[in-house]
Amino acid sequence: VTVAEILPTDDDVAHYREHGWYVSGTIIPDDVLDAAIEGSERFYAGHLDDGPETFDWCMPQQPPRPGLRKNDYASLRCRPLAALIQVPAIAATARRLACTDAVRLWHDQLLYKPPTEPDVLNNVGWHTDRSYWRSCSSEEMITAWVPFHDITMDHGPLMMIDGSNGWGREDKGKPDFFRQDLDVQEREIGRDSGRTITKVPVLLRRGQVSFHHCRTFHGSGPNHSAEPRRSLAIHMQPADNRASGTLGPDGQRITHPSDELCRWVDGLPDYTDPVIFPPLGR
Amino acid sequence: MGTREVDLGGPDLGELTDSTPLLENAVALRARLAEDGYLLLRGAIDRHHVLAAGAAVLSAAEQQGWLSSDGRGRFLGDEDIARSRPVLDVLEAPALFDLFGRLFGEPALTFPYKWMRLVGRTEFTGAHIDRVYMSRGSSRLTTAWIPLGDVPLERGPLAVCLGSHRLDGFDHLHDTYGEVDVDRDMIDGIFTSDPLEVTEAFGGRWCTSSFAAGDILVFSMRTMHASLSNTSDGCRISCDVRFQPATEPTDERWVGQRPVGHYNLHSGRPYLTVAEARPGWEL
Repeated sequence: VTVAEILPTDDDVAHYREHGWYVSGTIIPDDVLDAAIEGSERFYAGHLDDGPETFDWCMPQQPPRPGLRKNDYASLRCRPLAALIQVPAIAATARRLACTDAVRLWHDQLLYKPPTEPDVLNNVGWHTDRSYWRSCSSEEMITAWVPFHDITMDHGPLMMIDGSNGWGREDKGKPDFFRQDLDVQEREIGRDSGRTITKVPVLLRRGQVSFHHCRTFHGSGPNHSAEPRRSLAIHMQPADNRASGTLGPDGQRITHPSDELCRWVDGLPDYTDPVIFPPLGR
Repeated sequence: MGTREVDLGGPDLGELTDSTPLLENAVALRARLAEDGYLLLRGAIDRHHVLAAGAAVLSAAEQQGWLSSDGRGRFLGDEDIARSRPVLDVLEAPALFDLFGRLFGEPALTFPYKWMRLVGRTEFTGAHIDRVYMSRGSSRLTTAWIPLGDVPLERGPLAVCLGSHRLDGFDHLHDTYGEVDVDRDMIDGIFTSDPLEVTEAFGGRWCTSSFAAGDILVFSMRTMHASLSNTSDGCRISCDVRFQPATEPTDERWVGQRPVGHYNLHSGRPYLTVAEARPGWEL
C-alpha cells in the first residue's frame, strides 16, 4: 500500500473541515507500535535516549505516580517514539487535512491511562489544543492521536465534540486538560457556545489514527478496561506557523514552554528550529 | 585554481555532471553520490528565497562594515545573520530535508551551526576534505554547499576532485590525513593551497561549474574539494550546511543551542599545518 492510496479523499478533507476530526485507516505498522510500547516502557523506567534537554516536568516519574501519565516532548528522548512520529502516512494525512505543503512537529505527549481505581484521577478534561497554543500564528495546527492498541469504549476513548472547530473562539466553557468533571464542563460549553453538544467517541483498531483540528474540543473519560490505555498525541504545525508575538491581557507576549527549548530568531522563538520541531514525513 | 591558471574543459578541470534529473529517484541518487562523490542539483531550492537570503547577508555586511575596501572576505558562521529568518528559510528549506531524507532512506537532521562565508576578491578555499573537521558522529554526514546568489566561474565556485573519495590512489591520504581530527590533533585542516598538486600526486580530476541561485552541491565527507579563486569584483556569499540521519550520533561540536565549534584548534594554542604534518605521514 502506498502513502497516496491511504490519503484522505476530498470528501474526507471536507468532513474534517466541517466536523473537526478524521479517522484514518490502518496506517501504522505493527512493528512500529510494538517498538513504541517497548520504548515507552524503557522511557518510564528512566532510560532516556540522546536528544535535547527538555523539562523536569516532562521526565518520567520514579516511581510512576498513580493516575494519568502525560510526558511531553517524549519523542525527543525516545528513539522508537521518534520513529513513530516519522511514519510518512501521518504527516501526509496531516498535510492534506491542514491544507499545507509541509508539517513539523510542534510537540508530542506520551499518554498512559491506567485502569480506573477509586480516588485516582485519569480523565482528560474537555479542551481545545488551540487554547494552549495561542503563541502560534497558525489556526491550522493539527493533532494525530496514535493509540498503541485497539481502543474500545471500555478504554476511555478519545472523544470529540462534533463540529466544535467551527465555533469561533476556543475559550468557551473553560477548556482544561486536567479537569475531571466532564459532565459539568459539557453543560458549561453548551451554555457558553449556545450549541447542542454531540460527543463522538473515537473507537480505533490498532494502526488507525485519529486526527483533530486545534479548535476541536476533545477529552476522555475513565479507563474501565483491565489494561492501561497507551497512546502518543502528535501535535503538528503547518509550514507557515510562526511565533505570533501576540500580547496577552497583561501586555506580555503569550508564550509556550517550547519557547524555552528552541532557538530564537529576530527576537522571537523560532518555531521552525528543526532540533525541537523536526520536519515530519520528509 | 589556487595560484595556477587552468582551462575549463582542459585536462585539469572538467564540468560537473548535473544530477537534477535523478532528484526524485532515491536509488539513483545514492548510486550517483557513491560513484561520483558529489551531486550537482540545479534549482533544488526556491531561487527567490535564495536571492532574498543573499540580499539579507549583503545588507548586514554593509551595515556591519564587513565589506572592506581591500575586498577581503569574512567568515560569518558565528554571526547572527547566519541564523536570521531569510537565511534559515534557505538553509533549512523543506526541499533539503526531502532530499536528504531520500538519500538516507530515513529522516534527516541538520546541524544548527551554519558555515557561512563572504569570499572576497582573489580569495579561494584550499583543497581539503570535511571529515577532518566533523568526524565524531554519523559516518553518513554529508555536506551541501549553497551559494546565496549566482556564482559564475569568475566568482569562485566550488570544485570537487572527482574520484578522490574512492580511488585507490587516495587510500593512503585517507588513512593518514583523512583520520585527522583537527581539535584532537591540533592540525589545521586545509590539505594544500595548490589543488592541482592533489590530482598530480594522487589522481582524480577537478570539476566545477557555474552556479545559479538555487543550485546546490552535495558531497561526502571524503570528497576532496576546493574553490576557484574569486577573480570578480564582488564577494561570493555561500554557506555549507550538514545533514545526517536523525537517528545516528552527532558530532558534539556542531549541535546544541550554542555549538562549541573548534574549541581547541581555535583556542589560540599552537597547531601544525598539514604541510608540516605530511612528512610524518609519508604523503
